[in-house]
Amino acid sequence: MKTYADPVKVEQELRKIQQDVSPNEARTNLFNLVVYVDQADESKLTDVLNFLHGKRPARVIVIHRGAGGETRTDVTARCVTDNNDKVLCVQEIVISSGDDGAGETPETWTPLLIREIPVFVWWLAAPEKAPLPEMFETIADRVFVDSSLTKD
Amino acid sequence: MAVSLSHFSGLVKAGGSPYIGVMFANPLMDGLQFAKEPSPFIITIFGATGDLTRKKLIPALFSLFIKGNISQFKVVGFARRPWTKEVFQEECRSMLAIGHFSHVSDTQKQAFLDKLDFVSSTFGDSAGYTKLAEVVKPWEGRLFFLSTPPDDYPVIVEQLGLAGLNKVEHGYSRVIVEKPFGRDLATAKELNEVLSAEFEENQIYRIDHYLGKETVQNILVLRFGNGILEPIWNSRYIDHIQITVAESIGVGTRGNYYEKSGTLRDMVQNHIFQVMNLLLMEPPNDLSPDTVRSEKVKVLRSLRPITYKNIDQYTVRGQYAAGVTQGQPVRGYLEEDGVAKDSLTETFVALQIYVDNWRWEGVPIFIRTGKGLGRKVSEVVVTFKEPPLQIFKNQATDGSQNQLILHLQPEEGFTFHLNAKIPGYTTQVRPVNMKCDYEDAFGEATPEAYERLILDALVGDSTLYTRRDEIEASWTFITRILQGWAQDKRPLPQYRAGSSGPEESKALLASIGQKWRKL
Repeated sequence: MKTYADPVKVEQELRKIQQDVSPNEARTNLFNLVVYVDQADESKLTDVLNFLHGKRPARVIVIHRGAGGETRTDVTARCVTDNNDKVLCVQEIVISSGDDGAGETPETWTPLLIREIPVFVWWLAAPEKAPLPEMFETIADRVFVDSSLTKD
Repeated sequence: MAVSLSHFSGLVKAGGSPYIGVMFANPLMDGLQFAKEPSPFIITIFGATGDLTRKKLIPALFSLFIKGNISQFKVVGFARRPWTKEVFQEECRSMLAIGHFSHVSDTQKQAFLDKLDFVSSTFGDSAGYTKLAEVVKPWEGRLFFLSTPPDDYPVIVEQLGLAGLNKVEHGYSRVIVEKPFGRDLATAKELNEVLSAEFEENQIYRIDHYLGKETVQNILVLRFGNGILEPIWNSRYIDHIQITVAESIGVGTRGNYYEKSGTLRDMVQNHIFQVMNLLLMEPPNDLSPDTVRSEKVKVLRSLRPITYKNIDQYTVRGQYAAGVTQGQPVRGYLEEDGVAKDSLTETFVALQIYVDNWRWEGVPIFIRTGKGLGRKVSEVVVTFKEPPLQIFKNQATDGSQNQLILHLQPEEGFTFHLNAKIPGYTTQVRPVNMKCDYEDAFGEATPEAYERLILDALVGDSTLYTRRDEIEASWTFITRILQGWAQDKRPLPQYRAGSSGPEESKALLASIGQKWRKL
């Protein structure tokens, strides 16, 4: 059966990566950040991830729209050890949404969110194609739309 | 310095009940974990070739065996299939091959399998019961577990009576009945009559596996074992309560069964009402079975009826449409095998309930349960009222009310949402979490629900089983809703599989200016 992003496998993989990086106790993630990005705007995303690195432990879910082919999921974690010997990681889950667009539907990525902490959705793609804010009513605490990406 | 990490604790007697000591791998558990010891017994499982036996009953009995909670016993499978004792033993061997028991030695597994026997018979054939009576004869402790479709209950109970297996001169004869216990008030009453024709009420154990869950039992401890909560556990301080039991999977191959059941019958009447009763009941005088169960019945009898007149105001139904759950595409309920294309069976239900008693007057209780939802999660959210005066002007208005969240599954524990100052030069406030995880707190995984429930039935403790009047009180409330829905022939609202349910369900919480907790 087709699988886009199996939450159990994703969690297992992230745990393994963090343990490989450092066996020390990891700091609790502070928030979820979901970023919708078009291929062309990837440099902005990289800037943000670089900014977060080493500062705030977080789970970042990146949804690449229009990646083509089959929808697939990759996971990684960027970690550093802080002054108290605790590991501080930015967990990255990258969903490349294929021709079927399955990666873009919230049902694909919401099971990957960590509960009990805030969810921020950052629409770093052309807002003309953005779903209505109501779509995020039951998912996100905040939705950010980058107005510089509008056509007008 | 060498430190011994385990030791054996001696025999202890407390409160007149017999207990056995257990070898602990975890010394921190010393003094905390004692199990009731049943006298020698024989358990007969009707429907022993079914899924429940494979997934729950045999693993639970084996788990009790390897933990030392049961030692002198026999397990008899009773089913139509032409199996022999040896076939049954081999089937059970495969049931024990799961990862959970991979560390257990073959010797221990064989010692358990040697205690298994099998009677091949239809449920209506008296010859089968004659054979069973021979097997059961030497044992004074007799437990009969009905793990069959409910249509088979009457004939099994009748045959047990005819074979004289419902009584034993010295010892006991008890029957455990699985859900569904009826499909409305009338059928539940009928079933109670069938059972009571052959068994006394104190011999009947109506099982609801939710009550066997540690996290559900902990509701009582949390409420009545702490001085801090009970004074604020009432309408003066509590704004509303949400009970969510969400499943991510659809009905799968059970379309036929589900068509006759639906979510209200399958989840609310039993599991969710048990959780609700424990949350809302008055403090019992003691923990004896009848005291606790009497308090639970009072809650059910205080529920404000929902009838056809207000059914649209207080209930929402839905069916999942095609979508994605747990990373996989799934089809909609109406496309599932065994489901009618114009089915009105609900796969989602949300209720707004009021309890008309002194403690809970005016506090809405919201229930949400369904299949094909975004996440598998069972939890209770108790939301407290705002402070009388909001002096922190920068406090976020959304989500700032204190909440106590009881995680029932898959997480087990509880979380307090409290407000705290954000570090910095200004006084800004946001919610933070105080969390207790069972496994972290006690260092051990919690036992499976069926282990506790079977053990309780063996020692005659029916506290965690449902009494006749409790079943009938819950069906009284549920049947009114079913009757109200029966008059409404409109197609049900659809929700995408993997979402948090139909949009219509939001209106229930919106009526008090609140939202469902995110799945």
